[in-house]
Amino acid sequence: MALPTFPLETKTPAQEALRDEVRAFLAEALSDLPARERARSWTGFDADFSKKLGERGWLGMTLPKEYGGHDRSAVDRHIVVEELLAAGAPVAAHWIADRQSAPLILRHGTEEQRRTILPRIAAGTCFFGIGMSEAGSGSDLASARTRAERTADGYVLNGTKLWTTYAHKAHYMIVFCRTGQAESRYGGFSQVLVDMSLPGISVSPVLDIAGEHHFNEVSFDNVLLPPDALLGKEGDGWAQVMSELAFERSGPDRFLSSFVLVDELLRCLKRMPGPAETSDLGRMVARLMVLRQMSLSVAGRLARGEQPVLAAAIVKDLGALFEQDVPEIARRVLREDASDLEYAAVFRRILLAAPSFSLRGGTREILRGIIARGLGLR
Amino acid sequence: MDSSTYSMVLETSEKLFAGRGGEGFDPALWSAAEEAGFPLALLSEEHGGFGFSAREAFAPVRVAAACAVALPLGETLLANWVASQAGLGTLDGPVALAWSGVEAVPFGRHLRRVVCLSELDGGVGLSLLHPAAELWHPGTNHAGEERDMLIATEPVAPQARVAMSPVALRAVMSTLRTVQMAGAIEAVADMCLRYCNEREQFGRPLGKFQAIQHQLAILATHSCAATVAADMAVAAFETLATQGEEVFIPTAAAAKLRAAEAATAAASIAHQVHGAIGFSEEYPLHPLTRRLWSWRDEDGSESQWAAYLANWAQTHSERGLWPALTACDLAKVA
Ligand SMILES: Cc1cc2nc3c(=O)[nH]c(=O)nc-3n(C[C@H](O)[C@H](O)[C@H](O)COP(=O)(O)OP(=O)(O)OC[C@H]3O[C@@H](n4cnc5c(N)ncnc54)[C@H](O)[C@@H]3O)c2cc1C
Repeated sequence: MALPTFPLETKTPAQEALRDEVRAFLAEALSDLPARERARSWTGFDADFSKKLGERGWLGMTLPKEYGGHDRSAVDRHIVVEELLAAGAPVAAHWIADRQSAPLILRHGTEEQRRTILPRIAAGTCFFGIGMSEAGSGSDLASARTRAERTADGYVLNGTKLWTTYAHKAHYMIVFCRTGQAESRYGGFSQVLVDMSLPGISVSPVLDIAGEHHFNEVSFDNVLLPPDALLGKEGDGWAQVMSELAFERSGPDRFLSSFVLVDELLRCLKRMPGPAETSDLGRMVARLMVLRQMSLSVAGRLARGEQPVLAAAIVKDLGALFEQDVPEIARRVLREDASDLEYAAVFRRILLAAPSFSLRGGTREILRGIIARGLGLR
Repeated sequence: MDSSTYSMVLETSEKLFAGRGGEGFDPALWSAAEEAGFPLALLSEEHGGFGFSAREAFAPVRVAAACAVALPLGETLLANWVASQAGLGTLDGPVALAWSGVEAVPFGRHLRRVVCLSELDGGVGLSLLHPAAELWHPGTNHAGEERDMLIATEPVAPQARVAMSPVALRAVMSTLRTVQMAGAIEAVADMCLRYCNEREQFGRPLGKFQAIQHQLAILATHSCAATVAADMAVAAFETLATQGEEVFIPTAAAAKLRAAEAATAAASIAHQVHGAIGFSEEYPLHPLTRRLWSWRDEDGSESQWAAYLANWAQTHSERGLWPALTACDLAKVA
């Protein structure tokens, strides 16, 4: 059968040292951040914190040195990312840029684009938004209507993107749009690099079910783009966006979003009298331990230059289920929680964030479709 | 690890076990497995093994499980490993480990000997028994594999001991079930995929229906998780001498739990997508699913290991769970 393989990674002393170093830094840097804030996981935004990470060489880790990066392996990056997420560090500012925009620019950008942008991403001072979804185009991304029309001096961009995370803080957005006539369903698309300070761009907040503002609606009204705004090749947008999604789907952010609640739960259990039924807790820890190794294995395959699309989809699907189960397990394991205000705040934050875990980055159904294709069923 | 040895072991095992699945112990197949050296594969060369890695040594067990073969292969493997740790030399198989007391002994009536285990202070005591046939009270697991009770004999003083905590040895024994589950789940997934590509309803193969595709996708995720779980447990077993019980026990417990969860899901999906044919005696699905239902709870039930791991997480949560988790990451075999 066409199941993907997950060769186990083994840790090296250098990797252990890296982990310890990050952990020590975080213990210090986050000592004043209450659990309810850490529970925001990778939607917690703090530009200063991102800059500090950049100074320590923990952003753009896999980028070549000549572009401000650190020539580290995907496994090293995985270790840093895991530590950040487990600690509930506020990583949102640089998250998208570091995770997917930088590798995309490295792979498809011009030399000029790499030189001007990548060092700033690695420094933690340049933030990105993902311009894929639209009101009429979610899972079915190929129905996107935003359009960049070629002119004598570049492009004119028109259309509206939706759900764009932190567009209101982003310096750039990579917009997936039509540039040509579609000779096929996936043809005629390109990706353009849009400087968010250009005239004609309006960003309006969309609040989530907790009343929080992270995503937005972004309208482009005759935005004039220079010719070098094109990222990659005109007409190659579909293939590029699919490889971008592979980066977006492969990391530990796909199973650690609710880890702060796991920690809080354990903290409360320590004070709880009486023998609560904890076997659900044991099962939860077991799932987490195996997920970690699966995710590390994907990082190992990335580090060896492979493109483990199917393996990443499997980890994301299992990871989202895990993240979403955490609050439900917490409810079963902990009999009373109302007396602990911090726990209650963390619980609510994660409960209200949980529905998004199996939507963002490709829905559960879309991932299962990808897995089914990998199994040769479609 | 030499990956060519691994594939060679897989290939030899597949040749030997394919199509040999059955309800009860098969003496002819046992002799063939013995001839191939599988039951001693965990031993070092000087003890009569091949100096295989643990992953290579467990490979035949995985394949035997995938083929629903009823043999005390893993049992003999582990009994010999324990015996060599205790300086008892090589034991002719079939042989199995059994905790003294009331637990059923796998394939009891077919064993040449039983390595009877007792909990000692700071270790496990071993005594070799040769129970007479009439001392076995026959029983089976859900899959019809022999699980026999030894009718109480006079207590025997331990002849030897291993310096290993009883729970670590239980975790070693549970790893056998984890490996078996991983093998059988993969075989179940394979069988489902083939069936859904062949069987047509409403003018299309079942596998063309999205509802079925998603069930098979879920099955695939569980199969991958179970395989990784088994690999983790075996790898931690391999580094037991260097990384210690503190890494091995929680890893093996997590692996057994995760594989058991996968087993439950796999069996349920497999029977659903197969329809009535999969519920019939003649169809070769139930030898796998019935084994999965049994192995989930053998050598420590799912609830027992869940309680163990919950307790482990709670006692290690002083500095937070996270450092305890990363401390279990595998180091290279020295
Ligand atoms: C917190 C959050 C942050 C986000 N950030 C960004 C961002 O920064 N940039 C960006 O571009 N997008 C972002 N998104 C959007 C996200 O990518 C989309 O929500 C996702 O792709 C699904 O699209 P949709 O919401 O339009 O749902 P739809 O595609 O309308 O789907 C609705 C339901 O139908 C199911 N469905 C759809 N098609 C099929 C099918 N063929 N078969 C079976 N079921 C199907 C889906 O799985 C889902 O359950 C974000 C979303 C969330 C929740």
